[in-house]
Amino acid sequence: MSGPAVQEGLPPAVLATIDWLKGRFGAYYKARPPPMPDRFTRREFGFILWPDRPGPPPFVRHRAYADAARFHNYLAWKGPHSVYYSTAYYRRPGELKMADKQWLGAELIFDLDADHLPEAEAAKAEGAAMPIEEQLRRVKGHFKRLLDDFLFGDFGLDEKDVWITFSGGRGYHAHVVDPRLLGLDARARREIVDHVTGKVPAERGTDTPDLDFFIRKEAVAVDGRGRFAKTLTTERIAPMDAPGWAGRLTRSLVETLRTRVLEADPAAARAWLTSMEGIGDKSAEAFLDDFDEARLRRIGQGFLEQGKVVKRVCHHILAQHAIPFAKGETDEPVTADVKRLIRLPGSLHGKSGLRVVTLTRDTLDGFDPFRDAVAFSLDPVDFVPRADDEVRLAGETVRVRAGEAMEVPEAHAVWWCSRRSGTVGPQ
Amino acid sequence: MADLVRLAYYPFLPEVRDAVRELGPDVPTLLGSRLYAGPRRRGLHRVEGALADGFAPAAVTDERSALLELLSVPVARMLAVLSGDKWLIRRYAHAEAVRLEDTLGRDEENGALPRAAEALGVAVRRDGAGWQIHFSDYLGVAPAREPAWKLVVQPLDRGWVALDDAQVARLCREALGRRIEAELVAEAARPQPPMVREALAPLLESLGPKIAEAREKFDDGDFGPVRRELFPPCILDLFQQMIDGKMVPHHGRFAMASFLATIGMDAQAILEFFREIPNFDPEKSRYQIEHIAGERSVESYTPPGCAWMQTNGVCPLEKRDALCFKIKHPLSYYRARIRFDKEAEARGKAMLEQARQAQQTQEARPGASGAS
Repeated sequence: MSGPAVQEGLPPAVLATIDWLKGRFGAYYKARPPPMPDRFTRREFGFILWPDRPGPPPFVRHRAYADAARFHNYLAWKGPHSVYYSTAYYRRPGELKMADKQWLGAELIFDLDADHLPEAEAAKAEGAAMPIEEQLRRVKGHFKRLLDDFLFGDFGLDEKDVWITFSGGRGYHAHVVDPRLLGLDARARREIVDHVTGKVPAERGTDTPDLDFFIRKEAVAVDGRGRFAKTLTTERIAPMDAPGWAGRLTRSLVETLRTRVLEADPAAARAWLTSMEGIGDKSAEAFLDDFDEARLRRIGQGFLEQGKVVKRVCHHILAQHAIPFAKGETDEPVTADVKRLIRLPGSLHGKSGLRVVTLTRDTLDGFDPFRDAVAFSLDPVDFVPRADDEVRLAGETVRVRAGEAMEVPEAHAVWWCSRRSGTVGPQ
Repeated sequence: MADLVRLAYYPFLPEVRDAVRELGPDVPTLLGSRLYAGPRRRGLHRVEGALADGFAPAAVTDERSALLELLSVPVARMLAVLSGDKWLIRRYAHAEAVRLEDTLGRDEENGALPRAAEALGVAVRRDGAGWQIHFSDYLGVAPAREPAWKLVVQPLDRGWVALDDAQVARLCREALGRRIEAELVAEAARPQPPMVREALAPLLESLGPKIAEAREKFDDGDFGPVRRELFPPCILDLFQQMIDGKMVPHHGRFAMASFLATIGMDAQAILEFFREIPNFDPEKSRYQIEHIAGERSVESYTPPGCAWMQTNGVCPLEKRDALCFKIKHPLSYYRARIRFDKEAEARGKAMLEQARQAQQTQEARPGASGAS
């Protein structure tokens, strides 16, 4: 790959491959037109088309469709790289200026992508890229927590009002269409993000969450008489089954104490305890000596006051560990946005060839994107790989070596070609 | 209409608006007749109160006084609209809203709270001894700028937030404040009848100086003359470091420069300022001073808050004083100190004045004891 071709255009093999992808995608859409979103005449549609020259691919948007046939014809004709629709409903979705569209409401979107996972970031920082299968498995874990703890839990949403999809790439989307939420502005959606991600207001002038929102002091006795009388108080937090973050923090505290102390190796537990501010060897020893299931149960009921060390340890965990431990993940700007384009369920992802699959809470559990989102056949295709790689799609594991042309299943060829790691056809 | 006495406290209820329309005079009479001087005075009082600490509750004893009280509301609203001043409109809406919260807190009639909530679109429902609101409605009305009202600290239970009476009253206050503000801002955008304008001109004129005065007091932008002795510890500490000839890191210089620029010191003033410090050798810190004074670009930046200062090691943690723990921003510290100072000065002046008057009365009384 050298010479003027690089500057002026794409190499013929790449162009041929792009042409092939476009044809495959078009044929797919012809055979399986995606269902239209609800109230689709109120939606804006957008497309990324296949590039025919280097640089960013063409992005077409501000399209509106009065009938499904025209939309489906367009998909079959262009076989676009990616298909989007607006989460917002507009009075005039086809207007070119956002202000002219006249916003009517918008789905509330939760978008979880492998890119944004703390553990994936950590792995990347260490230079050890996590395999895509593992990334997707972890994203699914976070996504299930988001659904169960927050959307169906705290927010009490009905399953029929939450559309769940695999994004076709590296994550999952939840579209909330509860009519009570469609009209929420960005500020209100920001509050929802802050709830899900556990952004408890900080103590003034610090970065630590203000525990006063969750710890209450209860008078238990009066000590002394007359003007020397002092009210003795005890600290309570909410019991584990309390609603909202109050109960979640207690559950998180109990779970942390269980895994880091009660069920941990004693040496590791001691090391963990002494790493906290104000906990020395002696305190840690005292704590470990009589920390048992009964104590943990009392803490789970909300009683923190069981000696100074217990209280200090609990405060530390609540302030430092409990929120990150239990928080939900979501791409924050996406959820707060009221005018966003999002991948259309039933369309194809142009960087994987996988289908955006609509799921339910039940089918999510057993869902395997590399089996259940495969959109293409296993018919053989001539393929020239650019790098050594291996992928398992629809139960077929195929291994390729850089530069060695071979026949691979169509689904695998689409997978590699769409991420530009190979070309089709003999050379 | 026996209810009018009770309802005089809730002028926003639709049935009250209807009753006033039915029983009250037309607008020219309300604004012109000597019979209605009372409501006009009370209307002015409502707006004046809004500029200060709010206004007193109505003194309603019978249907007649209830009607007069209710008639003062349109007068106040017309005054706010005619002023064309969005700030005044917001203050007025706020005062009416606070008055409602206060009234709801005192009203022992069980139906008052749900009636107000319903009329204001605060969609609460009974839940045992308390109330519940769906979080979608909660988000629309709760003052989330206040930490205690953030959704994340609420007991959110399957979509519903539990509230007590006082919290429902507070939500009513938010809803009413926003409603009044929106209505009056929309009204102010329309041309007002000349009759109304003329009739209310004297009242509006008497309001003028009071608006200006109140505005000055609340205005956030103007800090007045620079008062170095009132600077927060962090900025003073930066000064000290420079006076001691220490190298102040970039974050510190930025904090200082943006702080000084915001309170109105320009480059020249900063240089002058340093020259006035005794025993200070400007040559030693010349580079830094020039840098700070010359960082013109910072003028467009808001100085960083306490969290940023702490994260970047600019906040001298051990030097923080009691006020530091009540604020989140160095500018708030400075602003608060200026306000305390003004208040202290005003108190001092008042005491002096009192003493002077006391002395005068004593002197004026012939033969009073102690006329030494």
